[in-house]
Amino acid sequence: MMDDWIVEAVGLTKVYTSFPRKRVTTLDNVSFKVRRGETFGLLGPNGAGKTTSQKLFLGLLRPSSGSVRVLGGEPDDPEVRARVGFLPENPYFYTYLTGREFLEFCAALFDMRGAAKHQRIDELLMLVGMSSAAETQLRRYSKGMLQRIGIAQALINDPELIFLDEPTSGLDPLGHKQIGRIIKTLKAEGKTLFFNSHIMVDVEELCDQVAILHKGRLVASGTVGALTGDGRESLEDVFVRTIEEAEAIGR
Amino acid sequence: MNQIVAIARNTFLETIRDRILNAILVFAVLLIVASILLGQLSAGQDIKIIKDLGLASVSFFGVVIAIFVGTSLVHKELDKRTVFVVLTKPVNRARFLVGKLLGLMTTLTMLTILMGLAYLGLLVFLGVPVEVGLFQAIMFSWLELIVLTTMTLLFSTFSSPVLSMLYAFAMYFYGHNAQTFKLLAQKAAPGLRELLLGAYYVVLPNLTHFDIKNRVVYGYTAGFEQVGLAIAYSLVYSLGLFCVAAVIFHKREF
Repeated sequence: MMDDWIVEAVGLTKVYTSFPRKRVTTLDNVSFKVRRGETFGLLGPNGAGKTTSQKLFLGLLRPSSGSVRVLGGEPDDPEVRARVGFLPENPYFYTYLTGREFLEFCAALFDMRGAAKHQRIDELLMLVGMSSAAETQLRRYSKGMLQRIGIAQALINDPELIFLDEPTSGLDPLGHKQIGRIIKTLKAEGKTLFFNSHIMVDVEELCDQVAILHKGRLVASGTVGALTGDGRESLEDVFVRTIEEAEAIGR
Repeated sequence: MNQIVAIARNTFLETIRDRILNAILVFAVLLIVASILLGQLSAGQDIKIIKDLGLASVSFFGVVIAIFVGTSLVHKELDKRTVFVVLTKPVNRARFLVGKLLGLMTTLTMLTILMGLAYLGLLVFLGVPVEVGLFQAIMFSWLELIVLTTMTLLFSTFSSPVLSMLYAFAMYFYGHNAQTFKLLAQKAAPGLRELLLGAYYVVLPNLTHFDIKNRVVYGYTAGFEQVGLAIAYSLVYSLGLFCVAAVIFHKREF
């Protein structure tokens, strides 16, 4: 059976050029693939190129060279976007809207209407445990609540593939646990999850496959089991060792 | 269409729930009232002054709100990263801009109506005759707002709010003196300078098409042709500005 690749990056490079002739390479010839139904973790220290990668997969940035395919198409193709969900890092939504108004706005962007729209919103509010705060304006939400309503908006179209950028960073233990529980539910539903993180415990617990980026380059990739020697080493130790080795050889 | 309506509605809610806008609106209505009352107290109790100051206030505050709110329209979405939520959904970027523009225009239309009603209501209250020309002057100010709002939207697709505001005010002041450039072009010796001045006159906005305030206070009424020209100029020029904004926004990376 052929592999069902849902995200493909081949020789992906992103170079920013600024005046007068300064060139900054944030991604350098990166290649990896994600299978349907997998939970994929893209790891790396701050500034490694994780967010740049996700933005390239979402069509917010265009590659300087190399190619990106998402669900077999171009990332900015509306048909592809209709099947993708995205939770940005530290989301700041429209603060003057209530949680429900915000989800209604997102549903309208997918042309959802009528009873189906309201039913979907109620389901999602239930899933993320926000039904009781649905009529509260977003400016009154805590960071954990914003993150949960952010996940709800990312799921409004029942996407096949969900990008999550640092979904658990900066949350208190309760918020952290709640987000972890939602991600596990999505995983159990067979969704493909692609998340950026530098919180190793989460990645080790949730991901099937990981790739480690350092200064824009791919320095390691594989299943969590293969990288950790089936649990002989923690993912955190593997991560630190990999980054230190990459530093030592000047990558 | 559903998407455009959703974005426009969201922008409208965003702008009317903004406290700064409410403050400007209260200040505008107060100033309209004060200017009319001040006109009453002035020597000779000239009705012209009452009409003139009120109309100038309606127009001025519309311009201030269009430029202040318009310049932050796209920038705010980038700054708060809300644009990521919208543009990663199947939303065409030009439609996003149409929605933003329609949302702000809805707010400005509502404000123009409110300020216009405050102004005309006060004139009626003071027993000053309300002529057709006064309605026309308010409508012309609204047509000017369409041009200014689209222009600030264009600036906000590539520039910071402060710079966009400076550009927009510069264009506003140029636009009201566009005839000077035309005269300069006509008087310049044939050559590059004449060409450049002529080009400025054609490309940059000519807002004198919308300025009938000084005449209507003397009882002037714009003819069918002048009204048609103002509407056509506002729509065609704004469409041109919008097309440039859409091209820049389409190419932009986030």
